[in-house]
Amino acid sequence: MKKIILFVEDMQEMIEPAKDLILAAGFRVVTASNLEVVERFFGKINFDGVITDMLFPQRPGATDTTPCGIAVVTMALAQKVPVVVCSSAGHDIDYIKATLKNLGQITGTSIPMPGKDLRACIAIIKQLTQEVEK
Amino acid sequence: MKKILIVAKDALLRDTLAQVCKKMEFEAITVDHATALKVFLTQEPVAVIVCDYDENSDKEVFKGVETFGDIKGSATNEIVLRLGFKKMDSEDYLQMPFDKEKLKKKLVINIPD
Repeated sequence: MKKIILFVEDMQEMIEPAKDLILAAGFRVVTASNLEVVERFFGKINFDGVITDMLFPQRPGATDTTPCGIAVVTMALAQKVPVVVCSSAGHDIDYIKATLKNLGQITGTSIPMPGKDLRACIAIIKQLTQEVEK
Repeated sequence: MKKILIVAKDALLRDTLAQVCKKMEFEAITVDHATALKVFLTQEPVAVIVCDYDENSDKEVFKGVETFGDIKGSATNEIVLRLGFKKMDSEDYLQMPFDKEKLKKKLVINIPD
């Protein structure tokens, strides 16, 4: 069975191309564009990996973005699921950078943040999911 | 045999649709809305029928809207149909009650061998 990746992104124009790239890497992909949906999915699906944006809305239909990616990273770490942050905000906003660094230290995991480079994110998640398998 | 996933709140509707799909030579898997996405991802059906679809009513009662969105967001080449009682013009929608031939047309023609 193919591994399942949760891809979190609110920019609609990015979702389909990203889905195609993740599928081409040999995964199944579930997409979410707000935190409410992510929470619902985490209760239902055992993901093998997560690629998440950092700034996106909390609820469907909302347009204001907040650093919901921190919540996604926390949920993934709590379930010991590999997670990659696909957003430049992980580098550019100091308190986000510090929070992710601290979360990583607390859980003994380094949280990869290759910026808004989806191909790099997929390569990292592929490697991390293989490591979990071993 | 190709798999088809049937999602509905009502067990009787699920079973009835399963019988119809079996006659079209599908292996029918029936689930409620709560487990639909998980089963979709693990069983890899070629088609999905999502019942209880009504965009203008209470989403908590008509779970089809949520389920359809979840499955559509994860689908690749699968046919995903929605079923509801209201009139709606869309290629992937069937208004109930419907003619079996209409369903067959939407499923069989669109699924490659």
